[in-house]
Amino acid sequence: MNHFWKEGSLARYGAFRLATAVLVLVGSMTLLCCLTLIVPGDPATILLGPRATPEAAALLREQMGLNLPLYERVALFFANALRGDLGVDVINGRPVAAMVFAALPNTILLAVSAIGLAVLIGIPIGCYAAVRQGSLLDQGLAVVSVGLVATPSYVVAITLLYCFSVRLGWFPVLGAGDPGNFVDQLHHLVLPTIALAVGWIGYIARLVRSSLLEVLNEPYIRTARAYGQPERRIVMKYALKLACIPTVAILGVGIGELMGGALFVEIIFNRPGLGSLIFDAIRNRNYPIVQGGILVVVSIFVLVNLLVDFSYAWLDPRVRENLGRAGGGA
Amino acid sequence: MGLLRRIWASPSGRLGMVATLLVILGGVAAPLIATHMPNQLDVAARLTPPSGAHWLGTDHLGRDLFSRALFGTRIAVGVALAVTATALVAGILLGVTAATAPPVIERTILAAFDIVSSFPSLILALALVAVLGPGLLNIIILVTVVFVPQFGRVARAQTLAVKERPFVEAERALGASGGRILAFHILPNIVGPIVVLASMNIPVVITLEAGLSFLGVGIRPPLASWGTMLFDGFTYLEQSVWPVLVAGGSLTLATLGFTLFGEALRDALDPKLRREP
Amino acid sequence: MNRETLVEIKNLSVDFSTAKGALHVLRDVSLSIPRNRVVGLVGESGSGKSTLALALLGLLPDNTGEVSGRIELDGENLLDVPPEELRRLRGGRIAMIFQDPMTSLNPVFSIGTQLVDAQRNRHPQLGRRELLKRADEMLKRVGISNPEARLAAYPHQLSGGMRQRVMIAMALLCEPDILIADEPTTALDVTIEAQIVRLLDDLRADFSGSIVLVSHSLGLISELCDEVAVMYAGKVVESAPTKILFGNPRHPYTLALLACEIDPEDEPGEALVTIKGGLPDLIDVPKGCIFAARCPSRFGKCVEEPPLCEVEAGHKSACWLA
Repeated sequence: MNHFWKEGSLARYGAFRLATAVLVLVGSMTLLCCLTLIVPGDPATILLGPRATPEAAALLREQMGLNLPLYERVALFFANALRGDLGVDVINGRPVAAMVFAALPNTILLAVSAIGLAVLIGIPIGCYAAVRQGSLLDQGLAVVSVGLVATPSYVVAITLLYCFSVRLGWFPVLGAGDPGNFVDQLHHLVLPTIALAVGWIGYIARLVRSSLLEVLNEPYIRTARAYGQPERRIVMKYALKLACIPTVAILGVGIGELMGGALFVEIIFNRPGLGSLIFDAIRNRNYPIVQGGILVVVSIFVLVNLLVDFSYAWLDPRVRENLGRAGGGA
Repeated sequence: MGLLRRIWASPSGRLGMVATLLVILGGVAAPLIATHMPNQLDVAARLTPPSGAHWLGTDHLGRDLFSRALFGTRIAVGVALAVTATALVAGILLGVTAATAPPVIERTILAAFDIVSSFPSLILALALVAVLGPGLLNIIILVTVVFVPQFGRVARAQTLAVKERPFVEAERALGASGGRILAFHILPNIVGPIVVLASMNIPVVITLEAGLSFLGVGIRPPLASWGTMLFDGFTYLEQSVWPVLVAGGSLTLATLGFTLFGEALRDALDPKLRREP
Repeated sequence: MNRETLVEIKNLSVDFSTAKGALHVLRDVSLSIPRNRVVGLVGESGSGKSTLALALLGLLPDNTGEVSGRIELDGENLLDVPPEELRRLRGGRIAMIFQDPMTSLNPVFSIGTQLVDAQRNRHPQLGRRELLKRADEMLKRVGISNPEARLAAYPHQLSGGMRQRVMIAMALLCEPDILIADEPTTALDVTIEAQIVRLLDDLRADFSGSIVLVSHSLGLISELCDEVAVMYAGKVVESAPTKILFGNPRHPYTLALLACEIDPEDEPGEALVTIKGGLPDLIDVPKGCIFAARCPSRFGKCVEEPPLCEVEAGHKSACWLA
């Protein structure tokens, strides 16, 4: 058992990461619980309206636990959250959990399709640029990808909206489409997905290009060449798998940026989703929604980063073995 | 001077330098160049296209877009510089402290960095805005918080590396004070990577500030911010495209310029880093 | 046994382009590699022996500048063969074992996959299952126990010696006419090196092709090779059957090499440093005999370049004194 926790072991690192993740969640919730101490006009009054009696407001405050000390509120929030109860919307009284989980699928759909599009387009472009180093496409990519990465996602979104919806009328302007009508939903998804994916296409293409170039100089690629393997197999099989590892790492960190981007895209295209839900809640000082929504966003972020670590292990047997060894020690 | 010449040598570096200079000059000389006061209303000329009187047209309140874009530069670049400078100083202080202080303090600082960077940056900024409320000063404070860990980590890593070098150990053995070692050995060695990081950070801060302002939780009207201009323009998009075009264009020019400049600076300072995207 | 030539290298010159100018890595190299024999290429690092090996394989690095001369495999000039055809020769008629087994295998694919793919040029008609079976048998032959488990393993799970055995198996699986081994034991520690040398020695008996063994170690060369070519600064300075070269060296550089290599158990490479002076500049190549600057027996005539001449049957040397 002792060697299991020794300095630098993977299990220790894993435990540390898990502890950090919990700390992040507790920290963020504590921060968000502070909201009610600072915001003008307490939620109870907002919920009941200006004409509520002070007695009714006091009663509701007690029900919501607003007069408890901060640490008790945080504890209460977590105790409730573990039971799936994130509190109630102060404006319409609906349960926050239901609202968040109703919005979540839209956001996940948007994020997943954007990442999928970026990977599908970015990786082949990156490969091509690496193999045809110095070609017109390679040089073009160097310029265009910086442009794509540097342009804020909301500028891209508005531009697309203006060109293809307002001017050309090819795509619908607002919403997520009729529920149940798959084609309509897909039609509504196209522009938001492109808006969110554009920056990532440039980023992934550049990343794949540079890591592929690096891998192609490795001795084991020379071995593959020395055995006359076709260049296609060398690049697409032997080199690409290694070149994808940094790309996966970036996706883990990038999921946070992606959620930020999704928020803008949801607002601009007026799509229901987690981003627009949180944003509206912040404007209305509807703090239980803010709290519940951010808890879910941060949880997803932490979860995706754990998944990324696992996909490392899937791509790279060296890491896989280390994980296995650490697990075996337990 | 050699550094600037090396940046100028690459086409993208040249483009970045020109764009950056243009943006900074526009901000500095805004009162001289602007044809109107940024908040001067002209209700008779709402949402007009470019004309002799309004070079780039007007917004929904008849304000001159060219002048507002120029003054918006001051907010965008000003906030970016203020945030980067503050985050840089705070990051160096915390990073050097972490590298030299007892393990308990080091771990606390590192854990704090981990927590802050565990948040998606926009979400963290939104959460902090919810607590602090919008406004210029608050935006600078909260965006700074978002960016401190990056500087702190680099400063710590560099300090640790420099600390182990023989000449530093020798000097310590000769009785040099910690302050002397910090000033003469550690700081000069962390400047390079930190400057690169700072220059790469500026476009990110500009994007974040404009984004928050776009969402209505950043710079408050009537201050001219590209983000609020963009949002106003977006609201009236079906009537006139000019407000969006001017705000989005200025924003993109600035972020693209600073990005290209930052990359060229990185390549010029350290060719080894060039392989990274 | 008759000496029948398999590969004839004629006046091969190779330049690398560098920032400072063309680096003349190989200059007017002529060498014949006989069928079914082991030929050693020996020389210091920088003598061009590895470049010669890569040239045989058609895998010169990207910064290669001008290449002239001929490399004839059964009379066909490899320098004229179109790239796609040359690719089919690699892993077909020509195979190579590299210096560092730690980095020569792809870390994210199993040994089995890599051994299977390496044979595809030689046996395009066979499926994965047959190729795996061949790999399994070959691993047994190169002394790897439990080959089935090794085929599923990844390179990092094997020791350095084991990986070099895998590399040797990979080369032998291609049943090449010519096998190039570039410093196959340099990256290994001494006991493993001895094992690999023994393995190479054993395999030599049943191997039907020619072997080119590139090494800076005369000890290894004398153990394994039938013929030796000594290279210095991009030129072959002496070549002969192994016994003759070691018994009657005619070039001062060979003499110096032999003098350095007193104890074959010494750390390889270190001993060679004891030849006074360094390698000449290969960008601005000095006139005259290339070894003159370091030669203990140079005299007036050395300002002219000596040609590589036959001094006795099968023994060539590029020295005015030979």
